Amino acid sequence: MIVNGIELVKVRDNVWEIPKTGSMKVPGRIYISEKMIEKSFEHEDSLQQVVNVAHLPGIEKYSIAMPDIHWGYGFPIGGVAATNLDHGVISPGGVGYDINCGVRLATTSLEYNKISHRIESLVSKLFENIPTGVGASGAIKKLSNKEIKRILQKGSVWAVENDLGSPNDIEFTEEAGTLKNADSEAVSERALERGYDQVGTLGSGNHFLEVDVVDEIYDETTASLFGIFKGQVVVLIHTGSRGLGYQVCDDYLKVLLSASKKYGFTLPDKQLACAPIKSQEGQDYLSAMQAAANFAWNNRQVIMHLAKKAFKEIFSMSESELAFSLVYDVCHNIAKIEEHKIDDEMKKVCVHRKGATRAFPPGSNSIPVKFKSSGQPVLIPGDMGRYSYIAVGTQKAMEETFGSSCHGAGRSLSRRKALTNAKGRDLVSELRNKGIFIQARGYKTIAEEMPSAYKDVSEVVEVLHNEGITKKVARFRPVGVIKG
Amino acid sequence: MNPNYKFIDHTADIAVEVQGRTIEELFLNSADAWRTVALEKNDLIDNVGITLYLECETLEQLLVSFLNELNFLLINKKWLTVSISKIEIIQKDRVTLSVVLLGHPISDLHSLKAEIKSVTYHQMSIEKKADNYFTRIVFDI
Repeated sequence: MIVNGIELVKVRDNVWEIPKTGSMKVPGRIYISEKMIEKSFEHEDSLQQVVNVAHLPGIEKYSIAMPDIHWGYGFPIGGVAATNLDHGVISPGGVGYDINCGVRLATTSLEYNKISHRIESLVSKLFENIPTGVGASGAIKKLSNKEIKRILQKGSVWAVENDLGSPNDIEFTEEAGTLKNADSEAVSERALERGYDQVGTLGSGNHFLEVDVVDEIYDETTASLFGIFKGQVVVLIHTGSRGLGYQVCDDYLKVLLSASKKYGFTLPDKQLACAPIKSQEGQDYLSAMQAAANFAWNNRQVIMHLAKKAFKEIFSMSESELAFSLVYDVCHNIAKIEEHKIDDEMKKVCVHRKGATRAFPPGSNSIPVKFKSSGQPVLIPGDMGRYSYIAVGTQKAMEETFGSSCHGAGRSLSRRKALTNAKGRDLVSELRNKGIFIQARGYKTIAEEMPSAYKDVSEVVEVLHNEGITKKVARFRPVGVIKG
Repeated sequence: MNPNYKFIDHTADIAVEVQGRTIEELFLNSADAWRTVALEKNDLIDNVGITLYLECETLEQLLVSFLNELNFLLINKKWLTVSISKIEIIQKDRVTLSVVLLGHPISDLHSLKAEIKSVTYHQMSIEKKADNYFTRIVFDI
């Protein structure tokens, strides 16, 4: 079929290929159902972005997109591309401004049916404890230049060293919360300045902290391994590297725009500016990007600590009674050096995941020992009115998608259309009538982020479950939300 | 609203098409579009001036840097640019911008409508068609 002038050839029920044409270096591969295709690409340029990414020098196998694909800048959101370490490039367009935007899931000992009457107070306390909104700041004391640089080197280990987390939290964070090759010296003074007072802040847009209840279990054994049971209260945190990360991306886009010219790359979009991974420009960006990723892990760690404090206060419970425990923290905007089997040969590649989550299988050496039998937890938040999911990575993901999965529902409406649709409605009351309490800095964010602005996350998750890329473990439904 | 820019649908972010009779006017109209995205309402107090000088390789980089500078001043320095005067863009081997930003300090960010993470280069290309300059700008939200 032809969609927006681009040919899509059916490979399997939920897998479509964009044939390699023109100067594309590889074909495109999109994981999506036929039903979703009809709704996903109206007034959208994301398929063209899959084609654009296929032009990156050194790209291996496919330019891949997940079912939550939608129009971004540079890469589509939901885009995955692996580039050869020896002759491939690294591009900030495959990471985004919000470096290491990601999600973490924490469980509690609380059962929703016993505390449902306290959710409204809990949401208020969370909103009070965790700074949200544009330029949110002041969650913890303003940090010195030296202290920020420590965060950039140590990631969430910094939080643990400062009594804002436990060693258990480090164990259950992707990369143990620290990318070791990060270099704080590769980060500009302006980026540092933008990070001084933003540690422990949620920000605005689609970032959130959600109190959820476990609504459905699909895999009892794995859910039990993760400490998840039906009716349990859990917490999802979605945010990233805040202003510091945005500045790192902006700084290095300038460098890589010059580098693209220097190395003679012809790219279909300036936002795909790139440099050979092994070049000085590529290495500098990689070091700075890793530093920003460490800042993001630390940010989510501090937010989780603030959330735990709110829970303890509201429920007057001790640490051991509350059993607030991190299940896993995953990033979904990142470029990482990994080893993957390509044409029967193990190769080192730089896997760009722009709105895509790592989904490593059982037995992987890159995941905590506890998950060796289950595979890596994959966290897939939906919209604030429906569901979120936890799934696990599979061997098939390693074989087909460079060990990657989707990252959320994916937007279906522009912010403008969402605002138009929200006119005359009281979304706060509508959500409250569904048992969901929300607090946000402004009503506009709630309107822009209204549930119908997103695809149905269940459809997204089902595509990857049916294709065997990830396997569903449990479903959550929101009961409390704070947003910017 | 300024007739020299028009918002267009973009699924995740905010996109706008801007025009101007000169490059300088294109930059001024782009700054106006930025204000519409970032701010709840127009402010009229512009009694303090800040001089800004930027140098880049291309006009597109200069426009991105200029708008990101307005954004940085707003979110991180809590300084609101209300109007712009004495704009001059010189195109030689490199392109330069000198401009005076008129505005005032603000005490908090509560009147802000959206946090612009950055101005992107996606689909940005400054082109002259007939008598006007045009570009598209995508703001990452």
